[in-house]
Amino acid sequence: MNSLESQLSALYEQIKALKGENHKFEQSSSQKTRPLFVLPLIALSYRNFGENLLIEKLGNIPGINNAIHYPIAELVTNIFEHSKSDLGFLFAYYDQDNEYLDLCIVDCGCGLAKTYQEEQDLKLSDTDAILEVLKGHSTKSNIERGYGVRTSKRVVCEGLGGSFVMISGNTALHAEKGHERLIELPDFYWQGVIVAYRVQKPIGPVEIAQYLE
Amino acid sequence: MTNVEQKTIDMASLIAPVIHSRDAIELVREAIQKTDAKSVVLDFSKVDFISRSAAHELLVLKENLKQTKHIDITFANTNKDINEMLRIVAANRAIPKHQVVPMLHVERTTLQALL
Repeated sequence: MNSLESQLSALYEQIKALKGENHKFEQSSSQKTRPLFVLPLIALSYRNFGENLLIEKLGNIPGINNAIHYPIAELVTNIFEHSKSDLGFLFAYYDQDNEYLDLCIVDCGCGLAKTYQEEQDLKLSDTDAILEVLKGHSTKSNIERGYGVRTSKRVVCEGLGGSFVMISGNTALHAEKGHERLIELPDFYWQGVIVAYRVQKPIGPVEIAQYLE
Repeated sequence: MTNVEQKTIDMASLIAPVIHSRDAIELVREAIQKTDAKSVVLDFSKVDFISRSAAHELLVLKENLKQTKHIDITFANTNKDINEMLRIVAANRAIPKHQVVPMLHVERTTLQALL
């Protein structure tokens, strides 16, 4: 099973486990598909997304704090700023044996294409909507905004050597090892946005500033 | 409203040691508007991280308050990472940077096939 398949399989299991559980952090070492934690994200209540637990799992490595905080902050903020939903979910899973961390941030809001349509009267396919996000074209019509997804992807893929998947509607973006592709999935539709990424435990210091544009 | 020359705001106490979101900066605006201070120091001594979105909102707030209410805002005790984030965002405000996305290969497949 290649990396994308492995990641999607884990993501699929985590989405099936979406139960709206209360805010809890629990360690799971016995069942490989059980998430490290499932955190409902509720607007205006997010002071702690459990990053300290994730940082602890990856080890005390210089720069790891920023590398963990940055994509979570940007991607969770997007839920409350763009999705028109007050609820999202953050899943985290750490594989002790293979030393990688899976994170998944999910909302059941508008989705990218509908957000562009409602905010800017742009009629885009799911594929084109993802491309606009990658260009840094914010739905808020502000040229100074729109960097969150692209720079988060860079931190994950270039800064941490990880892989990154974003799904909205029936299209997925997969980025890994310098390659990116769009995948249209006629048998799948997600109303909202799913972002999932996998990072290996770093072996040296991490510096994300160069990826923040 | 209190009438002081300078007010210091402890950002970690007001928001959190990790400042994630753009709308958290609304708390800063509200705190500043509660005083008559013309000079405000935002103390980041217990703040570990600020997101790009929050840094952008903070710089916009700083500029707006200067222009509309002649209030000077300074950032104090920022760590290296927060310094860097504020500088990157400020530079981008001056000269926005947008990349051309290379043509991406579009595949059609099914989720079941991928799993």
